[in-house]
Amino acid sequence: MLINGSCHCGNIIFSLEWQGEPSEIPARACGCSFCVKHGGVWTSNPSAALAVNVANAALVSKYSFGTKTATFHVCSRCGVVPLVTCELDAHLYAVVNVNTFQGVDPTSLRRSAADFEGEDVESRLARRKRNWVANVRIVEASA
Amino acid sequence: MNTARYERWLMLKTYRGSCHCGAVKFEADLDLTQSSYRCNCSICRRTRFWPAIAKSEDFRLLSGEAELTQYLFHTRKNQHYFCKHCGVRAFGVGTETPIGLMYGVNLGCIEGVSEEELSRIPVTYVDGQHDRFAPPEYFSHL
Repeated sequence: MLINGSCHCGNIIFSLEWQGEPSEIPARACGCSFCVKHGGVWTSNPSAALAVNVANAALVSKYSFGTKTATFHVCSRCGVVPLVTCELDAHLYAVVNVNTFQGVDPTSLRRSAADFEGEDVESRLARRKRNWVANVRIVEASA
Repeated sequence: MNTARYERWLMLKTYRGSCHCGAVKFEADLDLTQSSYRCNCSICRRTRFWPAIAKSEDFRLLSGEAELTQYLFHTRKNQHYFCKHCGVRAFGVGTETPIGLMYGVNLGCIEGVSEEELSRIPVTYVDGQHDRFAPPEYFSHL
């Protein structure tokens, strides 16, 4: 199943290739301070492949906070955050914002609340290695 | 102050709020017994914007004016603002609404309101995708 998506203005576009044809896609509404203010609802699958294309890399703000182990890719033109990445042992992992999907039936998203408050850094990074998209390719162009 | 305005004023409470990195700070007088909004338009769905409504005289930007990026699209009537550092939309401005200039204050950004209080705020779902004020066919995900 191929899911396409983008920020609002189209500076950051992506294709998420999900293995097989899932009837449901998990969607985690995270309760952290960033996601509450941003409305971030994320999905990932360790066997999925994510290809991201950035039209103008100068128009992406990379924001980190707290443990600073994750990078939020915020479009500087429209403010939308289509993905978060985390580099571990020189390998890039990612989660994708389901609100930026195009043409996905909203009833196929299985929503749940997620709260990782209090999780130590080691468990957090191990969880990302297990659950986040492990095949991530980002092409950033400059205008 | 006329009676209707006085009664509305009695219901207002002052809240402070901010974006995530703290560059943008605001104060707004809101009545959280009134409906908030969830919309399915192309920008609200990407940002899960959850506004309470403030009249223009009830909203004060305390800091961060220079840190805001304005984003306009389509009819360019609504002014979308986000922090240029963390991308959070603390508020937006509707310029042509039935109550005139109006601020949509992001409830995810206000302080001093418990989760329980947030969960009790009424929500009106609107079909912005089709330029309709009525609820869309699907709205539980908004």
